[in-house]
Amino acid sequence: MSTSIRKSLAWLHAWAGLVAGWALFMMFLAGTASVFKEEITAWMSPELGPGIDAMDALEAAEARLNAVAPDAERWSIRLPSERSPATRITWRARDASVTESEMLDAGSGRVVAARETRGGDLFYRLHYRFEISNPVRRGWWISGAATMFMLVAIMTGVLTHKRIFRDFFTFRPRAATQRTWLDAHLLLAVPLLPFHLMIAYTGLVPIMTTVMPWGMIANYGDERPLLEQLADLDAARRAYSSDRRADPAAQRPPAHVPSPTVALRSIAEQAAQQLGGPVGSISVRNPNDANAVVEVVRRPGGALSNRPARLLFDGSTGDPLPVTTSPSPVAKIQAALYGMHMARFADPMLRWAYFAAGLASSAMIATGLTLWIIKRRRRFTDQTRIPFGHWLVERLNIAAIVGLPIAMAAYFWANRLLPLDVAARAQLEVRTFFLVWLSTLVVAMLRPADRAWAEVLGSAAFAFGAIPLLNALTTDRHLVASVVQGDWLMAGFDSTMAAIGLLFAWCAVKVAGRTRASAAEGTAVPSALDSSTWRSHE
Amino acid sequence: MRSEAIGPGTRAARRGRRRGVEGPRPSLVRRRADVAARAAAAIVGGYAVAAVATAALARLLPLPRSDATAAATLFSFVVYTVIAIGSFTAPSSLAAWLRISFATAALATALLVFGK
Repeated sequence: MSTSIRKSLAWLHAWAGLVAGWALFMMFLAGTASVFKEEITAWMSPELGPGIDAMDALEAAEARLNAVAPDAERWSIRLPSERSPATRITWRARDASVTESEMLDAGSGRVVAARETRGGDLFYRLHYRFEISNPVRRGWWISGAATMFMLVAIMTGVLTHKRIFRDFFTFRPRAATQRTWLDAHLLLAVPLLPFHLMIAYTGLVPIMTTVMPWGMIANYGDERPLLEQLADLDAARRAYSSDRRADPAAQRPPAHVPSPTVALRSIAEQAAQQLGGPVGSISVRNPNDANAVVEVVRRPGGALSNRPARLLFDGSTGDPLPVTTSPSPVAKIQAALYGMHMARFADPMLRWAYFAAGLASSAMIATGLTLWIIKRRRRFTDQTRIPFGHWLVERLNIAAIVGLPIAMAAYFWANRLLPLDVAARAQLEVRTFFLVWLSTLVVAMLRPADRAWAEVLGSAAFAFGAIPLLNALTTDRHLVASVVQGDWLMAGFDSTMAAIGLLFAWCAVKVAGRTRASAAEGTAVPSALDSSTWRSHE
Repeated sequence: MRSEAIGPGTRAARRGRRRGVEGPRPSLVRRRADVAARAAAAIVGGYAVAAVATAALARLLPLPRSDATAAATLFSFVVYTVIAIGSFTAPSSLAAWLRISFATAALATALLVFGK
């Protein structure tokens, strides 16, 4: 490859990475947290204890649905598991456009008395749609665009890289600052390249018919002008999905003849044996109608596909209905790609591996953003005036890389500290998250960059490190109690927070040390992340 | 070290760099216009090619309709990535746009002629 093309690619890598870097960092960090979405929700609902029998929960859920929506179009029940102690029921009334949902207490079947919280769902929504709900798919376009930048950045990064195998193992912590940061960036990027590429590409799969609907329009579109179809894809999407679903029984229309649906417990117990594993969720189409169809889905686990094994039953007789067990190869590939991204199949060990790899991806993006600043800083060392763009990038880096984690910790603090009966409590938690995030940006803008780095890192260390203590002071499910009771969900959350706090403390000490060292030398470096040593190595 | 300020550069600058000499450096405005034209080619042009390619493949792949749609859409992001990077490695922004126009026209023709 000629040098000039390599230079173009390096340029593109730096700029594509910068333009989408902050959005991508948020998507990766929120996505990494979403690996433990259920566990986060469970920690944020400390009133819900472990040890609930799934079949009792099913009976309670069925009773509740029969009371609130006996003639809905569809019911869904997600049963409790070791990852999530609550039962979630959702239903959609006939001709309604919205789906309603409730969390249930399994014992009483009543709406749960847990504090109102969005739990891990906030991070999940941030991850793929930037918490934008109106119009509902705008966030998908933004995350799709950012992901395309990621793919361009990954591919240009690989193509520019001459010594990809040597750099696999190179780390020089004592070398010049720029070289250290570059080594760190490469060390995070190169060995995990398959993961970065996989997670970026598969991230497009769940949203692909929204951001790239042209194949669907070509095959399932109608006579309307293209732009009109693009604005309203519902008709094409319906035609496409009914063509894809091979089980006609699952789509049976209502007969409009009332007929009570058989007890779900008996169906679920029968299905669990056939599925060879625990039941994860149950949905009923046309409940209490002669044409009711009950779909029992195995709890994800073991299989990569995002469509775990399922069985269909006639809702009014309880007899099994035929299920197509062999989807086409393309459908299998698509389901596997989707499944790889969502990681719902993963057992706890693999889930931790996804979490660690997600953190590494986030750190790769963070080191890339930092490198952008460090590489350009040499131009300004002799000048006191730093260009506005450079100043802004460094501030946004601080607010994104450390401000976002602080906001996440603040969200957990709000969950424990807000009064339980305050109105719109869940919304207040979310508002705390965004306000704290904004305030880290303000701090970054008001302070000199090196001080700002040290201060926000120190704040992050405190915000995470004190969470186990906060939990112990505000609930009776503190770390010691959790360990004694073998409640690994609570214990795991508390100790992970403490570990993250220690990591931030280590970073804060490093940065503060460099700031002091450069101040002692009398060199006015614009930021603590750099030292004055880069010159001698260039 | 001026190289990182140059960016993809104009054709003249590239020719100069290839020969190992720094040719006359194009003006800042020209360099900015070149980057803007390439970025537009990568983002807008890349999407256009990917969109038409997806529609054409969805119609033309010898698979059941739903499978052809899924396969074409899964492939579209590869097309987009390649076109986006190609826009910045092309000898000039004009060349990038010419390639994109040609690819779009060829795929659209295939879609309209064979995809009915």
